[in-house]
Amino acid sequence: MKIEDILKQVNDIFIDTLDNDQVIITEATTANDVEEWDSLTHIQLVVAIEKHFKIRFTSKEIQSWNNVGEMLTCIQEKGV
Amino acid sequence: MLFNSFEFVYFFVAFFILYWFVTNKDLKLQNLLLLVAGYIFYAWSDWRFLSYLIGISALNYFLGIYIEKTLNPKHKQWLLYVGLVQGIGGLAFFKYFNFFITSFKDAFHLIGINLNTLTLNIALPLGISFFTFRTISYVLDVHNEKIKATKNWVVFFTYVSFFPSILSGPIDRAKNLIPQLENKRELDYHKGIDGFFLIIWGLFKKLVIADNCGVITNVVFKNYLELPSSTLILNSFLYTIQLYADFSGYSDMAIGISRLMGFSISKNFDFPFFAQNIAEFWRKWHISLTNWLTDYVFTPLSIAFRDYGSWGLTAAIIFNFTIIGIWHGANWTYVLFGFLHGCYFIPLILTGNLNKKKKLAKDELLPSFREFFNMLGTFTLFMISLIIFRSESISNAIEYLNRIFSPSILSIPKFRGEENTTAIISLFFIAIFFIVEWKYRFNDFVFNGISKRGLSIQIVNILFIVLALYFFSGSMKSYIYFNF
Amino acid sequence: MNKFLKRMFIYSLAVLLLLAILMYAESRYFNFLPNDYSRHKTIVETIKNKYLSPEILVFGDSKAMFGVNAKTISNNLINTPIAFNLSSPAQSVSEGSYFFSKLPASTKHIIHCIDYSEFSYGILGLDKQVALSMRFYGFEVDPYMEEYLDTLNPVFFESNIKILYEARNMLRTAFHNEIRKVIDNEPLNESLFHDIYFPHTYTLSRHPNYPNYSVEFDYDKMKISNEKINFLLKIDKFLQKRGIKYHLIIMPINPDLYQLNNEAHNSNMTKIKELIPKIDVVDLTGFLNNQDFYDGFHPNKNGAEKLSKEISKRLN
Repeated sequence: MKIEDILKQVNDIFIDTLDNDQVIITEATTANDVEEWDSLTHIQLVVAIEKHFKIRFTSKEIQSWNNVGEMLTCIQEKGV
Repeated sequence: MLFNSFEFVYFFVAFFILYWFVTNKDLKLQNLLLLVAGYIFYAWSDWRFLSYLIGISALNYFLGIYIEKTLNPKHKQWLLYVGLVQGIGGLAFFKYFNFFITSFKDAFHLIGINLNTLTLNIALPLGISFFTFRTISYVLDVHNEKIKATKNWVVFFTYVSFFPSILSGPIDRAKNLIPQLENKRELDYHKGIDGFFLIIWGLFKKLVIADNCGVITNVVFKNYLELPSSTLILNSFLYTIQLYADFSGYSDMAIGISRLMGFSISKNFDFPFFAQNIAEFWRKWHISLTNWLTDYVFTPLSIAFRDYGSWGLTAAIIFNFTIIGIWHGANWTYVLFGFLHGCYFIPLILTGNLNKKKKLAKDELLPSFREFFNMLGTFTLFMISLIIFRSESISNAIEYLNRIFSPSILSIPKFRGEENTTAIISLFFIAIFFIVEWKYRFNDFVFNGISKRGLSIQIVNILFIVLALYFFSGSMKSYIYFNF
Repeated sequence: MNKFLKRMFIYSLAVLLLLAILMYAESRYFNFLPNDYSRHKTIVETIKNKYLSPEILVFGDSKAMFGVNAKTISNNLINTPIAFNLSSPAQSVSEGSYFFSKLPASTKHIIHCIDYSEFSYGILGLDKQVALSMRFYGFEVDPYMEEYLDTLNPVFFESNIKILYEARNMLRTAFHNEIRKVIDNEPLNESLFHDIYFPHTYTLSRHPNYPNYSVEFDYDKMKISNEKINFLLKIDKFLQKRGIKYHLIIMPINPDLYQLNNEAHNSNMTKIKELIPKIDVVDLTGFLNNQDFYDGFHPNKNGAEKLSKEISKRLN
């Protein structure tokens, strides 16, 4: 899957999980840029993404992401 | 050295002159001055453990370098463990060994054997909870490649023992502080003036609000058995405010002093009593500690438990907050305090309300009824937990809470003698305090931005604060969080 | 940097100006503030007053305020000599003695009312607030005091600025005084606080929460302090030189609060009289019964009359 498509789907997941249809994310977005995105909601986002793409991240991978772009690359590498 | 002492004023004025007018052309020299000043500051408060502080700084400095240098992941892991064991072990030994010894002694006492405890007591190095967390976060971050290890030992040692925040926080991260130490500092006019206001506002919170409340709460927590319920409730309210004013006052002063040195260190409070639920509360209270635990304890746990849905999240939160409780000290009251807060999250998790974040009364002067009740409810939950936190033992806490639920709840709260006057003075200033905080709730700090306003406004504010300090300072001495 | 320093300099000037104004206001107005120590003003003024010629002066703490009627003493003596009651709240023996070098020339007797427990501890220094208020009301120390007092409170030697800075708490204590009137359920007659004959401010014969005190001191196990004995001897010597007789009245103890053991008490009294034979020690510890007390410590009007008559008997 192309990064742009993954981005769109992940954006929808964000909107859904964070309960805010104004959320727009780019590859550069970090948790600091989205008000509702914090440690508590982060894990919910991860679970939602894993469910949606039917993939599994390792703990190390999850903690290594510094922005959305790195998250998307990780998703793509899982072969979606 | 207490920030509110003449010794500190002399120390800081001398330091300020040397820092900005003598050493500022040479960054290396300026950093060395900062380091030495930090050690003088620490030694003044507790010289016995200066060598411990220097020792662990050295150890973690080398650990950082070798963790990064080593290519073998297993070796990296082992080096990390050395750092973690040293940090946690040191904390456990100095903070909790005493607790174990006392429990040990109590257990033996129950079967009729008396142990001599004089030889078994251990002194607590001042600031250990704070600087240990700095070293632990550093080795973890280097190991997880979140930051680069620093090769400059002066910078690293200063990061660990940064004097404005070594005794009582905020707990800065290497990511934030080390780059600032490695680069030239400027005294920005606006940051400097705002920093000055932070300092005097912090002084006001500590000396006028916290210390006056403290005069009363110290007495009442000793004599709660003889006092009516309404007095106990008022006392809990005062203690809650006292803890906030004392700790946020100290944090404000630490941040303000850092500003005067050209540093921006992390915020520690964000008007926590305006939080509308417990999740929001912990995003606004002791922020540096909560963030630390979130990053290094909660996040790995919640990831590990993510397959268990709400229950996994609950377990992670309860564990996380129990640790926050234990961090405060070696007493079951702290453990229960933390555990209780973890439990407070359960309704939020189950109803899915964790994520609700709305700006409080955004364009309004006053909060809506619902917002007000939310704030009051959150405050009450916190107040109750502080009764446990402050009591000498869990049984004392339970007695105190029991006494609240009695008919004397309807009586007018009254203290003894001069405490009544102190209570009235405290309540008056607390009212002003809340109004001011409410007005500036969208600022980073109450007086942020005052440097941009007119001179007369600045002077009026300073004079009011000085007036309050001059006539109405309470009479306590040390800071509450020095003991943690 | 310059802009910052300039601004800080302006702030400092403003603050110093404010402090100067505050201290000036303190020096002008603070001795008008009501507080527990304002009775010192009365005492100092009475002693300094050249138009008064008292022969008998009573000193002591609130037990003497409530329990000694100077007019009764006067009326029960031949020629009704003028007597004043200059006791004040919490006035210790050493605090009372501060006034002994300034007594009017007419003085012939000092009646020093003390609690039995006084014999067990050494010389108490003046409380800082007491010393401050004395200084505020115009009291000055003099070298004569050193004949009987080893150390004079440092407050009397400090600079005016330091004193004004320390005195800032007087605003708070004044505030406290006003609040107390509203909060306490004890009806008081404040106007008698400055009376120099019988400054009893209670209006009832029994405190609403009688006895309102509990005793923390074990009189029977008391040991006599040599420091205190020496102090009393020095005071007596000082007063004798000026032709003044020194009487120590050991004030009554409320039997509801403490029952003295006769053996222990007699043995102590014998010892005391041996150590200070020249001083007139009047042991009235058992003189009043529990009906004569307003609360655990202080005699009521009845008790005061009985006590004052007995004191005048001993002066004859």
